[in-house]
Amino acid sequence: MTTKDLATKRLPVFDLVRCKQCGICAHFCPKDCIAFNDEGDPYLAHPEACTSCRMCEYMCPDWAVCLEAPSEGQPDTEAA
Amino acid sequence: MDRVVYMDHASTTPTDPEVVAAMLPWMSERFGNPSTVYSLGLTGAKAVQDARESIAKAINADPEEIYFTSGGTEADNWAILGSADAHSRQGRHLITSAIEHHAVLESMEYLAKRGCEVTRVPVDGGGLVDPEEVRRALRPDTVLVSIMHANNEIGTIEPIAEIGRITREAGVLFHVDAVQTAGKLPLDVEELGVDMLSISAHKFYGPKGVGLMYLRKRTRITPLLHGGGQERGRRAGTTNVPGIVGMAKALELASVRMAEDAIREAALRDRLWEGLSAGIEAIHLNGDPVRRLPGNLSVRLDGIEGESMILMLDMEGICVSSGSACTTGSLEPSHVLLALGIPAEDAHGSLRATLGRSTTAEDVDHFIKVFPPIVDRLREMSPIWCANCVCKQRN
Amino acid sequence: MYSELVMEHFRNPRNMGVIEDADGVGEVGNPQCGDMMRITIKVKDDILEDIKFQTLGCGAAVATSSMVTEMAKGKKLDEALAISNKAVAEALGGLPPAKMHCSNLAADGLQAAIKDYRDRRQA
Repeated sequence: MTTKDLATKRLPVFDLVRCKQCGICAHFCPKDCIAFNDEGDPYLAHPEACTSCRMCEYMCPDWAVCLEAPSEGQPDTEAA
Repeated sequence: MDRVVYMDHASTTPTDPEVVAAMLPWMSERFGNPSTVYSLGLTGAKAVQDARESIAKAINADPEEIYFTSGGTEADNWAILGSADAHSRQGRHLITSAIEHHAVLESMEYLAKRGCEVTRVPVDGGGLVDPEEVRRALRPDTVLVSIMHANNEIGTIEPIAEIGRITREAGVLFHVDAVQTAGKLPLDVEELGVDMLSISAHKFYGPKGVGLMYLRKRTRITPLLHGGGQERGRRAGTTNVPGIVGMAKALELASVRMAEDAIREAALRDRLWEGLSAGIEAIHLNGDPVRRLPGNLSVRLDGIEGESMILMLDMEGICVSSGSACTTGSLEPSHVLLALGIPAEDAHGSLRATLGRSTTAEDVDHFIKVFPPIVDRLREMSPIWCANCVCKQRN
Repeated sequence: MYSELVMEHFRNPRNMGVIEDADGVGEVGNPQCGDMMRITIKVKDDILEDIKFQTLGCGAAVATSSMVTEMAKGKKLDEALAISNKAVAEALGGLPPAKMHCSNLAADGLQAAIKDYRDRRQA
């Protein structure tokens, strides 16, 4: 996993307003990438281990996780 | 072990007692036809409207976008035949996947025989549709894309939101068969970007014989059922008040316990897979190992046939299904397994266990205990399994 | 779906196995169809002294294999050759219409084994 790979792959982005801190995203992550801070908010603790499988996105009951390509200078293949 | 261990929830589910209780009054004292003007019927109309609103809320739609049908098959047929017909002047090209349910594939086939062109995008070895394949298949004359949310046989979850972005950008209608995901995975028609959705009540502990189609407002569609003008003139037939009330109740119950059910079933499913793969050789998982419905375990075993496994498991009180030819009722095994690139002789040895609310750890352990001797017995009987030779070590 | 007799033959198949030094081997069907049968026979004085089967297939396939070996064992070869698929299905108390094609393998397998025996003797 190079720095370049990490810079281009799609990673989960958490919408903390929608998030109700149920933890299901972390539960279904096959690589244990997601952790929770002291306020109970989810964050991507291990971006290098993320395989972009989207299970967090599929399982979140409140649509608070979305996989996005990084915006800094990388072309995004999806329409905005 | 006397109790029946039911592990075929993808096929159908028992109706929840709370759902049955909610339905009963609408079959007895409040049996009136809601299309009438007397009060015995009008209470039914109100109950149906309440059901429409609660279901709409569950999928982030408007109540006027919910159309009740006789089930998922009717919704699939209507979505495909109805939208293709209504847009036939714009084009006659349709896109779907190789692993759709027969209700979608047969509807597409029916249109293909009448001059439409159908592109079936392939799936990878785990059953995943690549959104880029859908994008590449789009043509100026494409009018509809139909991709299922999750596959009934192998449980693979498809990247619907990504495909929805592509279809939205292209201005093409997007239908999603959500029969296996309603009540199990979060559904939001805006987040997923869908124009039509098919749902079937008996998959999420509701009654059989009722389902719905979500149809985004201002989407043109030709009715499938003509008659008395019910469902805003788009789907005729006396309103199935008890079924609709039951379906709404079942979806409401499922929504509340969705996350907890998913976690519980996934844990039991993983326990089952660990136990079986440890105790049996030459057993393989079908479908994506990660992106699958929580309760789905689809496997294949070398050297033996699916129906004989089902019969022997039935003798131990366990109900499962298979993709073998003998169980599909044709000479071909499951088209889903074949689309994954699995050779026909291996596809015949498939088994699908789909866990549900009633499944316990004891059920799983019972399966793990009784299945290996069954496999041994059938392999002993098999002309193509040789216990002693190395050739059986296939991947 | 299946009669009690079919299920009985499925649960407790007769003559399951392989005759190691068989006088005739008949193999019918193929794994691609999900139905395959191998029948091995031992013949003495033109009589089917022993017969065994191996089957890959559904309940009907196993039951008809079992039944055909039971019907054929101890018979003269020509009598055994006359056993038809229909006779096997009838002996089992009938099969669902969709399963009749599974029963074809049973009689075909027996006939193939007898033919193999006769071909070998010719050679």
